[in-house]
Amino acid sequence: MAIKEMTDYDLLVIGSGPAGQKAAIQAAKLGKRVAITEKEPNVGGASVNTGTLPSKTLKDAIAYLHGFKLRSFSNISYSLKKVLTLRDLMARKDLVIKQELEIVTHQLERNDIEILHGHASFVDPHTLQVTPAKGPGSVCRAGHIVIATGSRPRRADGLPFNQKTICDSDGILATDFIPRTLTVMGGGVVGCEYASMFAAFGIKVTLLDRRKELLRFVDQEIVQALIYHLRANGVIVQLGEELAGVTEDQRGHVVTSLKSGKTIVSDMLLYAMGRISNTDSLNLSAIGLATDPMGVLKVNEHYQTEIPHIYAVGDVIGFPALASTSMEQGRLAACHAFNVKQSGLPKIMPYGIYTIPEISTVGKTEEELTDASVPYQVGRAFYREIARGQIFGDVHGQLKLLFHRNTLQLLGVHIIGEGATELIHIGQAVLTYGGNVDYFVHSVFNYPTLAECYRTAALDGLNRLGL
Amino acid sequence: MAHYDMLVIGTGPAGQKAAVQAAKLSKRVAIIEQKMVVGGVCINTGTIPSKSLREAVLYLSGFRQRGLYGASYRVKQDITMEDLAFRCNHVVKREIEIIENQMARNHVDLIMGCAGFRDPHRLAIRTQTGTLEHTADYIVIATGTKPARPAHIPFDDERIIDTDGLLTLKRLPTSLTIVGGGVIGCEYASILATMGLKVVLVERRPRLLEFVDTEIIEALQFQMGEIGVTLRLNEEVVSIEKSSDGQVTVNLKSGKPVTASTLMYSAGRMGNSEDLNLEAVGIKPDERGRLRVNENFQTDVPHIYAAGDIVGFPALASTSMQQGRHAACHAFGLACETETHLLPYGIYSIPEISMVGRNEEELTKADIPYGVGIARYREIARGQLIGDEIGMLKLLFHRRTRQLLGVHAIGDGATELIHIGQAVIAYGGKIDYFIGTVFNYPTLAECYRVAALDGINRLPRPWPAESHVGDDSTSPT
Repeated sequence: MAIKEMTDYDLLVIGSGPAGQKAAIQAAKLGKRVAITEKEPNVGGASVNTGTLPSKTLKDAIAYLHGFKLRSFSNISYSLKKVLTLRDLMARKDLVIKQELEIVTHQLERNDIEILHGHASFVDPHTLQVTPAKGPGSVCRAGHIVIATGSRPRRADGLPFNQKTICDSDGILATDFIPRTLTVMGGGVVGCEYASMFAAFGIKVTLLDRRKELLRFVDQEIVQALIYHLRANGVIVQLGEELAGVTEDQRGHVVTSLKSGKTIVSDMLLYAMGRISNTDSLNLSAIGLATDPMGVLKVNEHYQTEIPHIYAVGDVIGFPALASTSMEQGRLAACHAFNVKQSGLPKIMPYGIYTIPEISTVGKTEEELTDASVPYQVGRAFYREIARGQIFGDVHGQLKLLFHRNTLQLLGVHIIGEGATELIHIGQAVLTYGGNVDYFVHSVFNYPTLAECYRTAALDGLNRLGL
Repeated sequence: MAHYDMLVIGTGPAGQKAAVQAAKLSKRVAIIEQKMVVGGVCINTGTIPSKSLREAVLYLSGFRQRGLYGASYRVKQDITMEDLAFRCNHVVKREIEIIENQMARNHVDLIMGCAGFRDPHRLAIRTQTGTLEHTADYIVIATGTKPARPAHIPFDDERIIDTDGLLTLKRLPTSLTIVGGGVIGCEYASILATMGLKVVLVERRPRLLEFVDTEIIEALQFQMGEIGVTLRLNEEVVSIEKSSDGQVTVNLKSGKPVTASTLMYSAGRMGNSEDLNLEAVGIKPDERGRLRVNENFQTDVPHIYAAGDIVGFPALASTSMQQGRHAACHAFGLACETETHLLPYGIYSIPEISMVGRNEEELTKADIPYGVGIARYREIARGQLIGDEIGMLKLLFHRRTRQLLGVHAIGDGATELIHIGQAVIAYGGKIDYFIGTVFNYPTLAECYRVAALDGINRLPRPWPAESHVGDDSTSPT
């Protein structure tokens, strides 16, 4: 293989997903010479190409259709299914991906960031070999290196994946096969998002998980509400089930066998049991970096690996593995590398789960507060109590505030319902400023908006204090 | 006859909240409604019906999905009045139930009838079964407004309607002329144009909605043009003619005739004060029937309060509720603060507009050196996803302290989005808050971060130190 001459950079970023992009742009804004390597033909990482954005586009489109049901336009006699098919929706997502790719590429170019197409691996702690699919490779040196290679769906050994009827979460977006029945193995974020989405579209879904509960880091009352919605949309939720084996029968149906003896037959199986970090091909052994069994790299609070000038950010370092946090991690790593003082990742971060209905949460859960023996009070508002909820027709959505019984300080906000991922940021601001629930009582909110839920919930909570 | 701690006249947002607040303070309260149903114009002819209409139009027209399916995409080709009214009626019915329920739960007596003052503490209430008299320590007037109907306009509620008239039409107009580019005019113009109606909006002034940020209004005016609203600014109406073929022609001073199947004449709103027999207590409404109040919503007679639309600007449901609550709190000696600089404004045009805090003109007038940071929806993933090309969020902040001073937004979800900025302003926060914060991805909230970064990047570098910031305009560069 021909090797081009060596190039020197201030910062080399491996991977062009959200974390890598923001690290590269931050360094470039500081006047540094930056390159970003990407092994796929497209920049953007899983976020743009297979993960966040495509699934959110799909979710949006399906939620829109679902919204028709909610809004009770029931005197309308035409069939929506005729107007829009799932196949259409799948095709539409490509358009959004294309637009977003243009934005990312444009942003990198505008900041004079070199894009090196090819697979990167370590030669020594300051040197990377970049090998493109075809053509000559190159060797680059850099003062600092950021690993932002992301993750990929974990595949169980022995499962006959064909990315048509037996898919991981990358495959399900690429296939044009539309199942009538779907089995989802894995009740994490990805599993719940797809299960709710396909169910809202009228596909019969069975959702399975090994554990006794879904989404363990989310307030369990909110999870219960999600399960209620899933069931209302025809999803069968079976928890505490382990996979025994998967086969295809002669008619092409997928037969999923569980250790409990149950068998589930469906047109498609989605296997969504976690993700694995993309570290195996970085040749980390050459520089003496080790990962855990899931390929996850360990970092300190500045996102430095055990080798101080090598940083790791984004999905590759594990939880929470959200595009939003990954971006901030990337930016912080670049700032740290070039001695720009930053206060670190904020302690109060929202989580957004794009199920139908959406879930979003910030601050502490009831479980956490109980464990910490913090005396808290719950205040609740249902969307149906406020005018905007009526207009949406979302009668099940709810917002729950947790606040300290004595100081009235806001401790957590948990929302399920349309627009939850946007709505959470109001509570986030109040939490960050250490505000009290009083804030919501004294504030005037636009009418009619979902934001009024905050006031209703605060009043509910304060009334329950019995003061 | 009974004696109450508080009597509230009118069951709109202001009246409801005054009554509920007083009831929560364990006071004996009654609320009086003249119409057959509770809720006031907000529920029955104004806010809620028009917002339900808007939601139905956004959905049925496929507007929300235009980014994916293109501007010509339509879910339903011919949207009928029935399609729209169906949803509206459903929402209105539910809202009325909620209000009645709330009154009952809080032990607020609901009296159906028309109230007028006998003396400063006594109301006579004409009901279907006769006239009642009740007395109270405090009285709250929350009777709201109705569309002004100038005598020279030949309203017939069919082809020439006021702003309450659209929803009672049997059939949708095929084309519409709206005279008056206020909030209601702008909302209806953009909603109906989104449905595919040909709309002409006539306004006397050179621009729409003068209290809104100029840049935001330019975006609105541009978008209105895109969806097929013809704007006729700086134009005055000279005469109105109905022709035999069912068309209505509005002749403008500039010589242009504007013809459409229906004319909506929006001449502002009049306070509902004529039935109150205010002479008996010595309160004098202004020429538009509105009442003057102090900062605690007291009229010239201290134990008589007025709240809501009847006290004039801004006449929004949200502020009316707060006014009602404020009045009740003040009456019973409870501390109540209404921080007017934190009131958000929401305009439900398509695209919607919202703002909180100060605007550029105010800051310039007050000699406050401010910076501007802008994010366009199309720059962020969520904006791409919903295909909103117009949407933008604008932050105004102090150049030296970076304290957030105002937020102005136009685009999908603007009325919700504004509340994040509202919280930061309330806590005296800086725009740095948005930079150090992680937002859910993909959400519109990310606009705050992009706008904050934009704002900071525009400041001269190195960022000025405390000492020589006073004279930004003359900094030697």
